[in-house]
Amino acid sequence: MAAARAAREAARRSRKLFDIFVAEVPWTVSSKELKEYFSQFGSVQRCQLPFDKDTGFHKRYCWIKFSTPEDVQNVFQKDSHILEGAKVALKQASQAHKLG
Amino acid sequence: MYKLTETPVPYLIIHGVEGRNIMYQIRFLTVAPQQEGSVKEEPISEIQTRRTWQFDWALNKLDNSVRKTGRIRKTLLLKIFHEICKTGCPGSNQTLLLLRSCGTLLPEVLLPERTELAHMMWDKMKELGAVYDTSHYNALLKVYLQNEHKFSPTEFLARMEEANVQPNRVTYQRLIAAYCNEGDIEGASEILGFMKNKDLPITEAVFSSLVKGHARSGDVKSAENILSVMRMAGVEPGPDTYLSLLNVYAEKGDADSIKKTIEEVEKTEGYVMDRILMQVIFSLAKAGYPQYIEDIKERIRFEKELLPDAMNLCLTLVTHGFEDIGFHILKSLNPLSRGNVDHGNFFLQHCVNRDMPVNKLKQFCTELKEAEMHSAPLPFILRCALETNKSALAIDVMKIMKEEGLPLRPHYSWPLLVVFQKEKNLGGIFEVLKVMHELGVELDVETYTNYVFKNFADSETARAQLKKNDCLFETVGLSVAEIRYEAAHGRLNNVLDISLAERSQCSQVFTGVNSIMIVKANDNYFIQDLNASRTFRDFFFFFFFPPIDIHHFRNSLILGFKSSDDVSLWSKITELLYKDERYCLTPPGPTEAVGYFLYHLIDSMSDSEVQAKEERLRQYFHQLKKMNIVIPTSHYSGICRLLDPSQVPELIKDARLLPHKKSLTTDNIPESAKSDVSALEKKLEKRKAENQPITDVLKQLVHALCEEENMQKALEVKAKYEPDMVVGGYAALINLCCRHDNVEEAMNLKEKVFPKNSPVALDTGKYIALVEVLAKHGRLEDAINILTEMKEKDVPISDRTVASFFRILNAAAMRGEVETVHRLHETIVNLGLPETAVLHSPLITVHLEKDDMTAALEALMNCYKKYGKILQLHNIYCRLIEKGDADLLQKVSDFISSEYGDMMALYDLFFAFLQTGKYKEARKVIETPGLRAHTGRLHWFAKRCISSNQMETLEHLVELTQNLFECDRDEMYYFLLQLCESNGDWRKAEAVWTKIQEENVVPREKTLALLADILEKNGQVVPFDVPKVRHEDSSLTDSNVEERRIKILCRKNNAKEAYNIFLEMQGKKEFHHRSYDILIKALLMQNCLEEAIEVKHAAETHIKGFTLNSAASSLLIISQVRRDYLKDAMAVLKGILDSGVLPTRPAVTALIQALAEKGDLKNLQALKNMLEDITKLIGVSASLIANAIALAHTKNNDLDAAVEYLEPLLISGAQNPDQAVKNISYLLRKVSEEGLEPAFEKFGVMAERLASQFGIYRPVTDLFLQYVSADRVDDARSLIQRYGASIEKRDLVTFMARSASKPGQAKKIETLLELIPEHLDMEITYRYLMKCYELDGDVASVKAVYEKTKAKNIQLHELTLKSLAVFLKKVGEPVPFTEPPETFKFYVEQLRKRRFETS
Repeated sequence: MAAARAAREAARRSRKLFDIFVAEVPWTVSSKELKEYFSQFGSVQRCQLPFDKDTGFHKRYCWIKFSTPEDVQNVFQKDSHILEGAKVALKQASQAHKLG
Repeated sequence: MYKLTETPVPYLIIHGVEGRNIMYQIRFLTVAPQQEGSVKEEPISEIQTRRTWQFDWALNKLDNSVRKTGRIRKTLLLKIFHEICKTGCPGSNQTLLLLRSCGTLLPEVLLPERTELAHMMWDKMKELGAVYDTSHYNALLKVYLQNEHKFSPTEFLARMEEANVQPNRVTYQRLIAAYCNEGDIEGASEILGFMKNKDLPITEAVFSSLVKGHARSGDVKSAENILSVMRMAGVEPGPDTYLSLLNVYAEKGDADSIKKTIEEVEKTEGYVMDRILMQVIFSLAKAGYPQYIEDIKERIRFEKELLPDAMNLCLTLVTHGFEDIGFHILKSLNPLSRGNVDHGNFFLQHCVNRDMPVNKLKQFCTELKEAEMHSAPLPFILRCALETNKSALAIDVMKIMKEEGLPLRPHYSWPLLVVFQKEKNLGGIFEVLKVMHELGVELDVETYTNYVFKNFADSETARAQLKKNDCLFETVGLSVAEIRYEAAHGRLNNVLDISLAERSQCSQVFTGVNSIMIVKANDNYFIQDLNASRTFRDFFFFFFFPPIDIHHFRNSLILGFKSSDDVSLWSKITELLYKDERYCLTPPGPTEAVGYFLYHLIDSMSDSEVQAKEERLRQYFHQLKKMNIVIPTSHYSGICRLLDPSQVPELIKDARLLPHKKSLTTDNIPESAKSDVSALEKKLEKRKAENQPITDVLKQLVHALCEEENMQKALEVKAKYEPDMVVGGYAALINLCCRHDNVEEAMNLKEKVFPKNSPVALDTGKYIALVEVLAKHGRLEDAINILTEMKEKDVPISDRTVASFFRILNAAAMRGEVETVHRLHETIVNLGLPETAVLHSPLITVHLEKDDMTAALEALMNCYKKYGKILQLHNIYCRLIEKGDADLLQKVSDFISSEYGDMMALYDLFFAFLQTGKYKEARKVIETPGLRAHTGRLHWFAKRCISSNQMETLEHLVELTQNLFECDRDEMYYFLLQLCESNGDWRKAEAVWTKIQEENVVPREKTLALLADILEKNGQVVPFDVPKVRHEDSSLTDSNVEERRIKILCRKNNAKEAYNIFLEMQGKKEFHHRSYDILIKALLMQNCLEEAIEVKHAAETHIKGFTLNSAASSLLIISQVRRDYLKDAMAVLKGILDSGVLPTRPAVTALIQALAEKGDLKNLQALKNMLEDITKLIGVSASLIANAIALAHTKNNDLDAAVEYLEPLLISGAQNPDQAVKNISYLLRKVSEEGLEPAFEKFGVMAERLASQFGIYRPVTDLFLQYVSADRVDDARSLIQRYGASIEKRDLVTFMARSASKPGQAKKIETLLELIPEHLDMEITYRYLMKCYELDGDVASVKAVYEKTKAKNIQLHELTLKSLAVFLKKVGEPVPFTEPPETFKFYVEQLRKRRFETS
């Protein structure tokens, strides 16, 4: 039983993990555009682009979750990623970012 | 007064050159260090000696800004100003720094505003107690000059005098400059006179001012003359002077003279004139001669170093309203651009800040774009406008963007909406919505949810208001937002209304449709021939009411469900989701979508929430079933998995209504169902013979056989009853076969019952077992298939699973199977596990096992390259040393050196030599010159020695590091003592003590305490004064902050936070025994069982023989019982008993009761044996255990066994006061509460029998009291008529005392009063009755009882009266008697004494 519970937690955690952290996202881009862009590498499951509720601007970074690790690999096969003329910085998302 | 223009000034003593040029001063912070002596006016060293860290911070901030941009943003300056003010009285250097920043360093600010700023700071800081000296006044003067501020120099001097501050040379120079700015040569001469009187030197700065002064007084000739005057005075004209002269010509529009002067200077002086020329451009602009600017500009070489100055020139020009000139300069900077970075942002932003008209901005944007300097200037301007809340401009820019075909997005409106929201300006919000609509931007759900609806009480009001203000645009975004908003606020009925409304709108549109329809698409109108063709219908449907996929509002809906208790609404909404295709159009369709929704709903609920809502969920499932809603089996099993830990077995059964097929059966049989094999076999055969269903018994039998590890028999049973086998039985069987290495059978069963393509998955443990056995038997492909299946079926993977993976990989590595290791590793890593380094190490181990060092080394490097981890390094080193492979040793050393530095490589080598016993070589390595102690590495190796009990190696480590630079000797000896301690080797410890003295090390108290401890424990005399602080006393010796923080957090009940710190520190630090206890206990108090167990595991690995203290382990047991982890709880109990710690009574009681509930006789018996000698110590009554066993029999439907077991115990208990089993109250209460009427009857008969035949009355009393408790008054009465005389008073008192400890029990005492008043002590009875009503907060009854006692003349004890008085006062009632004066405690003591005396 303990194992089942731990497993459930682990599964929950893994679901909430993201694959890629994107920084320097241009302000003009919304999560819709991000999803569209990253869809060329695979199926985007989630895209989290946090907005600052105080200013109405997003925070210039986002997290992306793909369906498979291969999709993630595809993304990193490309040297640089340019969104609306601006180069964005990509990082493999670490475990550090957990939601909730 | 002497006229300077007429004659030279030979009597002036010229001391030095000051203020070489104005332009450079702008950048004083950057260039100051390089040009010491020539630039600085105030001695900077003086500032530096007085600076504080805060000054450093401010300086750094400003310096950074100036270094990068040559300017300071006003906002930054103000921020620093406020920060400095906040800290109280600003220091002298801080005030100076701030004042000096209010001039040309603020090119974006208008001149008067800059001066105002300086004055504001001056006054404010003075208020705060700043003391101003000459340097501050001089700084203010400089600011005045830079800002062209008109002021009276004489007044300024008077102010200084008033403040008793002496002017100095710099003051006079600047005052002269001030006069000269106004063309006031007379004033300037007056100051010169002062200077002369004071014998002050006249510098280039003065002459430069005079150049300007004469020119501005209209006398250009005299101005030009100054140059020769100064030469005659022995002062060479410098850049300042030439700038002054050039500015003179610029102000006159004398392009020729400018040209002539420049060429002359270039020829004779060889200055770099660029910065000066930029000033000239500004002067020309100001003086209204823009036509000459181009000529000057062409002379400037715009190079990288000039960029900040050029930018500032542009900004200054814009600030002064010469934006076109500024833009012209900006464009000349183009060649400086590198790469495809956008240029001109600073310019555009400043233009926006200065409220440039939109047409001008548009023109700049177009030109920048044409010049290919900026890729997207319009969006940039939009951003600036949004950032500065210029909504009108933002809207205008968006209009231009639309014209130019640039995309417009909903989130562009958010900053505007945020501002209006803050201002509560609804009009503004409506306006934005309208404009966005006009611009053709369809606002999305986020816009409405986050920025529109928040302004209104609810979505209905929002809708009404939007409509009223002509900005209601029916879009998907709006609809979803409405659903989301209402759901998130728990208004599920509104959700349903909205969803239905959309449907009806939809159908209304359809009923109104004839054969021709006008459809608006992309702003064009199409006339469509309808004929109600399916395609058009679909098209229409999508076009006006496009699908709103459920995932857009799933989370809000879940929130709504959770805050609503209206099950029928839940169901209706779910039905709508299921049946209205708009919500679940994305493939795989409604079944999947609703299944997913349900899964998430359950997932979002905590165990307690599930338990609290169990009934509602049950109804919900039933209603869904009625609505013919089905979900995929996989989702169903997911939901079951989620529900599993919530302890709602009944609900899990109800969940079975949801999936497609009814192919599933119970997977989890309660542990309690297990009984011994033979009994089950008999039962099974009997059932079979009677033609009764046998699935349950069969399953129990299979499980029992598995438990007994009887594979042969289990397989036989399976074969015999194959048709009745259920999934759970197979799973257990598979596991059993794996354990017994029967890989064939395990795989057969697996393939048969859990094929890869079936949605049913085994649990993680069983998959692991399969993989393990397959790998072991060389069936690599099968193993990999299982792993892939795990991934496909999304089998949850925990830390324990990862550990199992490591075990499997390591086993393969130990067998030397390279391919197996690689393939399995690859597959496992691809499962998407959290990064765990340990999993990679078998890749290296396998080569070590095969003794292939080249491959091992390669694997090491590969791991580093791929995963960034160095693994197995120590082992590789040791092996290479043992083999004497110098080449490879060199190679690995080089590798480590290049990646981690020489020091790390040396340590690795040192440890490897130590490990392999090559001490001579080890010494050579550690004595490498320059090597110093690396605490982390030394600790690592020392601890390794301790844990693997390598005394000799550790001794050598300590010895060889004796001369290591910065080595903490005490610590090294402490390690040695630790190993002595665990070996109980006091002789070695004593030798260590001698060594410590020999080496002249002063041991810490902790070390001495440990030494004393070892000696004492081994019966030796301690040869020194034992320090008071024992190493166990952690509070004083906590070596680290984290440990203390954990303890503090635990004390504050913030166990989660403490646990986080623990996690962070895990692997890095070990904690004290006590800290673990504290943390575990705190976690358990917060119901964090998993975390607590995690900590316990960590403690067990770090501390040999770690056992939790009594309180923590008892809490652990209780938590486990609460979660139904009875096996684990048993193990914990056994563990602590083995280590001689006693559990608490509540823990044992909870476990006993839980086992009884499950009918788990086996474990109860085991528990009874364990507790045999200590029941009294713990305070668990023998009766409880006996009751529990009887209850367990009852639960197993074996009433005869229960009575057979209990009755003799009760009879003998009556004769044997020790170990007496006397009462049966627990048993009766349980069977009564659970409505097990036959059992209750049976035990009742037993009780009566005991009373009538054996004269044992306690059971019958229990029976009577249970009748009372269950409110079976008639039964109680009839019983009392038969056995009334035998009821014991003491039992009644105990019963009443217990009743009065919980609210809602008054009725029981009232019943007693009704039935057996003659058996009751009235004072005591009324005391408890009163207490019951007090607990219930029932004022009327309390008062009634008090009146009754008065009427019956019952003398209440003072404790009762005290309690009554306190109660009445609390509820605001008058106290009808004198409140007893003493404290509660006093009366409690009194009562106790009285009881003691009477008994």
